[in-house]
Amino acid sequence: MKRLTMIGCAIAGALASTFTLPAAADETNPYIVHRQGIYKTVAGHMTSLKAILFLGHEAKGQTTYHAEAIVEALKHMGNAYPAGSDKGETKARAEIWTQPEKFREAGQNSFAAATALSDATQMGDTKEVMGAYKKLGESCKACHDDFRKK
Amino acid sequence: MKQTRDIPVWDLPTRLFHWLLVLLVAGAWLSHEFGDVTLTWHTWNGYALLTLLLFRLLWGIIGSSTARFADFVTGPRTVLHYLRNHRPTLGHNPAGGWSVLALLIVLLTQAVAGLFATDDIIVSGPLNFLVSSDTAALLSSIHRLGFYVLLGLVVLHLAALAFHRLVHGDDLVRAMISGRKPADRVPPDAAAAMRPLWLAALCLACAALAVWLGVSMWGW
Repeated sequence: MKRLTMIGCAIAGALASTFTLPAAADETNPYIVHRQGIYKTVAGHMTSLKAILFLGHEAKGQTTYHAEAIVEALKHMGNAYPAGSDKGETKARAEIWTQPEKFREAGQNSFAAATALSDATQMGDTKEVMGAYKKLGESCKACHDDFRKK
Repeated sequence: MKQTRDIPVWDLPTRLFHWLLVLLVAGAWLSHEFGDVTLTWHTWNGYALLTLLLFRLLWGIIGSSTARFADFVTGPRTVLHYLRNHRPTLGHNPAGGWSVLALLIVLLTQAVAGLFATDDIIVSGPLNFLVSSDTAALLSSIHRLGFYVLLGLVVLHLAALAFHRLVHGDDLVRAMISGRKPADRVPPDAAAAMRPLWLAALCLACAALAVWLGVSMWGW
């Protein structure tokens, strides 16, 4: 029983320490800060769309705004990964710079999916919009799987 | 062939736990790898897995003798001695005991980290809102990388099974299905003290209640 208690304490201690890690200093590499800002913008609109499409928020008319905002945000990602922008607190994997063609294709896939979502919201069929939304999410995930550190 | 009596070793709750765990671990991987991007199945699979794990912790304290941590968690000296001089045990052997503990700890870490994790796209665990985004990012990484640790333990688990089969001639899979081991494969006069099924059902109910409360009470 005493041994069990010790094991329990060790687990609790390990868990507690993960919650009290000191915050890292703010990142200053302009490209890292900038692209993370854009990604957060996109993630914010994805969250709002989730609320409308799946959680019952009634602002159905606003799906176009969020979809277009994602398209606009992604338009500013063209030069988000210049040489040297791997230096800093980033989850960007080296493959982004060693396989630029493949990475560009992944980015274009997401842009195409965002555009398709925007088109779907203008047609107004909720099923279609949900489908396009999931496709966009899948394109995000596909890129994360290959180019983002776990 | 020598006729031997089979000795009861694993009770029904422990066996059900084991095989449900196999299904749910496979389900966790499948629902993430091939499931919908909203991870609905993965989330529910995770609640079920966490419930099952909490049940096992309770059963490891008040369950049947071979299911108890006190029965199979031993010091490093005992483990080393066992590895040098293999001898039959009724329940988990000293090395296997640590394998059980390691699997439980990694799986619990996976399940709990998943509650706080986010994919930064669509899905957030039900308790994600309780922690800062830095902590959520850390727990998400633990959740993603934990899979590989788990994979390693599963491979080790299967390798140990094959080792016992080939070197010692023990059919541990059969024992985990039937709950019995041949009498000549356990120490003489060893017998497991079984606890009643209703106690296991009560443990499972407590585990489910704990998961349900842990996930939903924040909204009250």
